[in-house]
Amino acid sequence: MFESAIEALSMVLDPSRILFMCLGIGLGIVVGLLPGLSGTVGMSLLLPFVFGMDPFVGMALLIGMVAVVHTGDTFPSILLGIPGSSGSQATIMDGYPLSRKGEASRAMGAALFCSMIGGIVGGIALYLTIPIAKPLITSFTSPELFMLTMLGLSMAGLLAGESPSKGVLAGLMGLLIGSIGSAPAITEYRYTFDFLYLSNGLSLPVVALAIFAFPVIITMLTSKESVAESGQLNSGVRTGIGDALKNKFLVVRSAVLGSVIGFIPGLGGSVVDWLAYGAGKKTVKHNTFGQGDVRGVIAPESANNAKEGGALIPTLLFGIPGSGTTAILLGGLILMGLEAGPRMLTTDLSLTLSIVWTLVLANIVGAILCMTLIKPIARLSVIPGEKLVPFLVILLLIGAYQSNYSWGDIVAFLVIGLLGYVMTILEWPRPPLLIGFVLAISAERYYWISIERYGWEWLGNPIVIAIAILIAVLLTGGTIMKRISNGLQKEGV
Amino acid sequence: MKKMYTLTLTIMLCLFLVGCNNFSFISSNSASSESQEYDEDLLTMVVPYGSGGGTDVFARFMTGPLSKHIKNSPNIQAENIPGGGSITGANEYITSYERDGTNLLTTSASTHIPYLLGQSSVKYSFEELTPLVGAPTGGVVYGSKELGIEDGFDLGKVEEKLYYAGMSPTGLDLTTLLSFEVLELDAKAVLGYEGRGPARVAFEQGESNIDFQTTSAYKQNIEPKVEEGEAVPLYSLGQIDENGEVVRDPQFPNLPTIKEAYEEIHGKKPQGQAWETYKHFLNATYTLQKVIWVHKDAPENTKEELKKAANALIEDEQFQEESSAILEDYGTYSQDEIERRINNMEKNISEDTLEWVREFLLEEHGVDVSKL
Repeated sequence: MFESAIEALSMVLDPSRILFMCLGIGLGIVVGLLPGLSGTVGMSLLLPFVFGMDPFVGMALLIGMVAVVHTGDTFPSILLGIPGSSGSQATIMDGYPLSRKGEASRAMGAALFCSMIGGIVGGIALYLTIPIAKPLITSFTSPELFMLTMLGLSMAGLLAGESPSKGVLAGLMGLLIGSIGSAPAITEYRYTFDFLYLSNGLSLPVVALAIFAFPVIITMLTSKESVAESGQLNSGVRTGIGDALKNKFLVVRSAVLGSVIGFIPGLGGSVVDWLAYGAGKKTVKHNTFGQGDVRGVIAPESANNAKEGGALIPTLLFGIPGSGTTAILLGGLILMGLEAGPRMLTTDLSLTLSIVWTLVLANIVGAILCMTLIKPIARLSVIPGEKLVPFLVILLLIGAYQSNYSWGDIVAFLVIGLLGYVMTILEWPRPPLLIGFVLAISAERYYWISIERYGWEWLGNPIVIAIAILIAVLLTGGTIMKRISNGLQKEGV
Repeated sequence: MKKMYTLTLTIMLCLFLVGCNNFSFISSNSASSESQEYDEDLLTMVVPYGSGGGTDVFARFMTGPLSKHIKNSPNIQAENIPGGGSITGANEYITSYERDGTNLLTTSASTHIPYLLGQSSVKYSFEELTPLVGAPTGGVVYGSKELGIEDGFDLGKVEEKLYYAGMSPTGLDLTTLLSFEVLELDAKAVLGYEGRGPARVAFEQGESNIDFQTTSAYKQNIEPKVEEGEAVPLYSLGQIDENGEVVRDPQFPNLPTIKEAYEEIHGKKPQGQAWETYKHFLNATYTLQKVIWVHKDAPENTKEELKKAANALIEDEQFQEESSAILEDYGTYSQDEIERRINNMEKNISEDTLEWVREFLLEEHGVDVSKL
């Protein structure tokens, strides 16, 4: 495969292809930067242009765009506390507090560097799994996928913060909101109240924007101050990169986690940042996650770029899209006269390998480009809130509106936004709600299929039992550890 | 006196302006409805699905060749209206798009099924639309080698329990589920998978052992498995011919249709309500899978121009070459043929068929169509 890899590299480095890749990167960064617009939007924008293009050029354009969305989306997450795309929600948890302390540059330096490493790891993961992709993908049966969604949901408990009961309730609320619309297995509509808009359920960009951005906007208006509380901006891009290098194991660990989650079809890549954040919180010693710990930025940012490489595996080789973005990529392939399937490994292998290279190159170029943007963009955090709000409101409404081009999007944004605001006042954690929302349909789908297909037999599946034990350890581990350390302390006293 | 002068002038001015307005109003009106000249330069193609799906790709692909054969070669702009399982977009096309012949609509099987079932949220009707372009697709049902049979003729001898992985009983799966009903196969339908791709993975894992794929997915992914001996083609869903009968799929000329399989297994021709319903849905979901429409009450001359363009596609060799991947080598119907086929379909649907399929969905799959 080395020979073909080098051949593919020379194809990618063809000047015309590099040009299209850079076009893609430019668009990807803009789409990531604008809150609410994610890779799906970038893809739909590019789709009309790829028709009839040479596949190598078209792929350079599309993959260049996809690769850097999660590099660009870091800016609004850290600077404003608004998710730049649905993949960078977890970055807010520590990125925003850092920016309030005036350390936005440091957080972004770390985040962009990790995005780059994550993207490269994702590309390598794609390359390495090519020969073993088939057995890997077919190894997850429905019961196992169901348990994986449960594992994802248990993260909600980890992210609950002070009060686990509030976290559980928020998670359940998310599941409830996620069940709006048609049921996955039976044609049956729930909580739609005869509105056609609700029959497909609420879309993730609307919910993610509303739950995080709406409260931020209100706070900006009421507090009348800039994001950086002191109004000062410390420089610190290098410090940020240094932070990332110091935590290299965390970076690699999160990136590997990201690409693995990306490639499991059906789990939905949207939770990957939360999973990496939760895993980081659990494994990093002496952390202050949630209060502006730079490692809380490093973990999700390494993972969300790595996810794209992983998500391409089922997409290209099986025609199973791992995310909304890759679903459109499939359409793009057809427009260029190709079709996803086993042929991507035989006759079209060079194209697949050129995708790997594009992924790696675009991540490097994108990260460097964004680094040069840190200085001017970081100034946003010293602008007084009330001057920023009008622009943000327009951007957010456009972001919400693009998911269905329907008035319902705006109404849903306002309603969920108010809910988010109430939750911030009552100090309820919001991440569990989002995780619940994202996983609601998958959890129901695989539970239903497992029962329909296997009855209760599936509970005896060894992988299912293993994941169940893992969940139990994750959920109780913390409390038990605490009890032990409390006990030790008491003894000491 | 000066006052009178001003007043007269004002009145004259007013009359003049009114006259002008009236005149331009009349002339613009007559230009669009009476003149035989076709001079549109921008058409809109409403796609009731999100970007990148099969129907979106089909619609976007068709805009180019279609425009080429329309006078003036107008730009055709695709407009996605996702949501509501394509009902939202199709409804909107009927209720809020101008019926001046500049707006087209692309529909697919999942737009046709809710209409055929008479769901209450459907506000569109084939009677309000004139079909321009139509393209079919096909489907093949295949089984796992574990079933221990060679072909579809042996389906009656299968001893293992059959599991079928699908998405939803009111989607494209409906036709396959009806085919099981016709053949009196006792297959357990496990529905809820995310798409045909995940359902195929379920087949590979052994989670299901009887499955179907549409033409190009079958050729891409299943034919290699057939060669390896992992999968066995059982029967093709077939195509409906001009006379309303099931015939072999031109893409699978060597594969028996469900009709032949039935005759072999049961020793007689299929008949009865299940068979009639199957044929009806096969027609609406496969033989007429993708259709491009225009409002029926669009101006006659505009419609003529569009029909002419649709007919020209069949002669266009470049189009046939370029379209082979997207149309799965089936090609498109001529405009006369698609119109005749749609009319036949509308004519042949009987209340008994509808009643039967509603009953089938309620009893076998717990779906109450009246509540959708």
